[in-house]
Amino acid sequence: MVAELVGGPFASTVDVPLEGSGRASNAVEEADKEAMRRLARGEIDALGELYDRHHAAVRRFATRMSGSSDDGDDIVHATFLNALKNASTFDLERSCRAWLLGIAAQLLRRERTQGARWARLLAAFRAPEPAWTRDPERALSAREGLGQVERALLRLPEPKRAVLVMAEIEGLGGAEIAQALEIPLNTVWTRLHHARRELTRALESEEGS
Amino acid sequence: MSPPCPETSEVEALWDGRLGADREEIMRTHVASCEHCAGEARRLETLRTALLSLPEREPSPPNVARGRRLLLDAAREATARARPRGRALPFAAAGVALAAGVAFWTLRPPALDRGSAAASDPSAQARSGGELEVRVTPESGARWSRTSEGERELLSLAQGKIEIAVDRHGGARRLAVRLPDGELEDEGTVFSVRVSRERTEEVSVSAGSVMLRLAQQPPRRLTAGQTFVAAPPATAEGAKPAEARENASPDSAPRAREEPTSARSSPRTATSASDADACPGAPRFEDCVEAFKRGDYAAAADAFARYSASCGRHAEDATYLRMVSLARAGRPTEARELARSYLTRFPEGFRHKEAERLAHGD
Repeated sequence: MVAELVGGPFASTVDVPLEGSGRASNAVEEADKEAMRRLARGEIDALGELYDRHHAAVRRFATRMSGSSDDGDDIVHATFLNALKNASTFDLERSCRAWLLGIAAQLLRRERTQGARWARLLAAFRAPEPAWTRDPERALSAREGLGQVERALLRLPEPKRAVLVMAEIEGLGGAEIAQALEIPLNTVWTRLHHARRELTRALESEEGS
Repeated sequence: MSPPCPETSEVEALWDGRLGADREEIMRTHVASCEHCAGEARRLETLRTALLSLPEREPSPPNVARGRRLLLDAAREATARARPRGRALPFAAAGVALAAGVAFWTLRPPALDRGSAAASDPSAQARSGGELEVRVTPESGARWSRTSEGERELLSLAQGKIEIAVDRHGGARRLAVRLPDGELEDEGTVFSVRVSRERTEEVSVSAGSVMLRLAQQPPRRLTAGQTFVAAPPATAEGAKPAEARENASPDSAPRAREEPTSARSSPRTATSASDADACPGAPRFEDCVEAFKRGDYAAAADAFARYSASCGRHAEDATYLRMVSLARAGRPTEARELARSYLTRFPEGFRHKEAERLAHGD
């Protein structure tokens, strides 16, 4: 649908410059299905195939969601290991890439929760984290290295950001996003609408200031 | 300026492919002739273009290959571990296990019992709600217990070493290990942890990853192949503690010493109050970081250089921060040179990507 629209009434300069983004082709989907069948039988080489096809998308999604390319490798590793564990329950009618991105989204959410738990643990110990033990470089680069769009994207609430990144950058359809994030389809459209509005507003206000 | 168009609200639905074929055709025609709707379409298009144009920092091919290799190694290990559990343990195998002094038992949900494990209980297998499968193999002398807390299975380790293998079968149940000085959260993995004298001495991960949170230290994620070893406790000069002697063995060398290794180095070095006393003559690492944080990059670069020259601790962090300080102090040639040196010294370093960018002049 996206591809049709890009070439349709909005015929424009919109390209799909990111290798691997956009909807997977039928050939890829068939190859994914076969790889998932093999993986469910315990053939680990199939995991390597899936990694080759989808690691870039998972890493890109993790980077866009967290704002840090440093977290990408860990999330990619954990996502594919998780895929191995759940291969036997994978629905072959689903898009494998959307499923992997859904796993990555869950892992990222869990990381965020764990960060909050760590803060609570520290409070319980009544020993604040010494300032110098925080990674100053990471904190600095997080602020300085990001462009206007990245900063605005990171300011979106995580649920809306996930939907927006999946739709606009990864090219997933509404139904795929709903399955990946385990939310109703209407919630996808609502979040996507608000995410677009909030991001547009943020970019316009940055440009104005 | 023409009045607002009532159809504008449907432009986004058209963009997302949510309209039926008939309505889609009507809207396509309408957008071509309506200023408001065309403007809305342009906004959507601009937003997508902006998002698709975000810069991508792609990992280098060797890093991708390394990631693939680590993944497949971890996957093979996890599969090999999981295979025997899929079948009933044959009597013959059980006999061998018992003869070897190994015992198994199964705890079923709600399992709030104390699955205690004193020294006489060499091994335990706990299964919880069909969601979480935990195998605990304590070393002789280990003192640990098991409880449930909400959706978390909690193992409390008071003393000694236990090896833990965890398989999650979906669901929300999680495993955490409570330590005298913090907590360790499993992320689906195989790992061991050793506690002595009320402190966590060593955590070693064979597969998957764990999140280690110790009091007064930043949280650190350990992945397959990584080992955390606590810095030796501060002692009177010349009096070597028992832990230090223990750590001197090759496979448990304290990571706090930060020697380059073939394995991926620790995310963060172990830190302790003894850091300042450990390297006489060296500036305090904290002071070097303070200079960096103040933005006094020339001073920070010099401080990190003096620190690295006199002290082997925090080697990776010190090298990396010195490299960044040099770059920000307007000394790019030195920064690039140091970045190359970093890549050689820490081929699997945690700042590998940043060092690569700097080394190549990005």
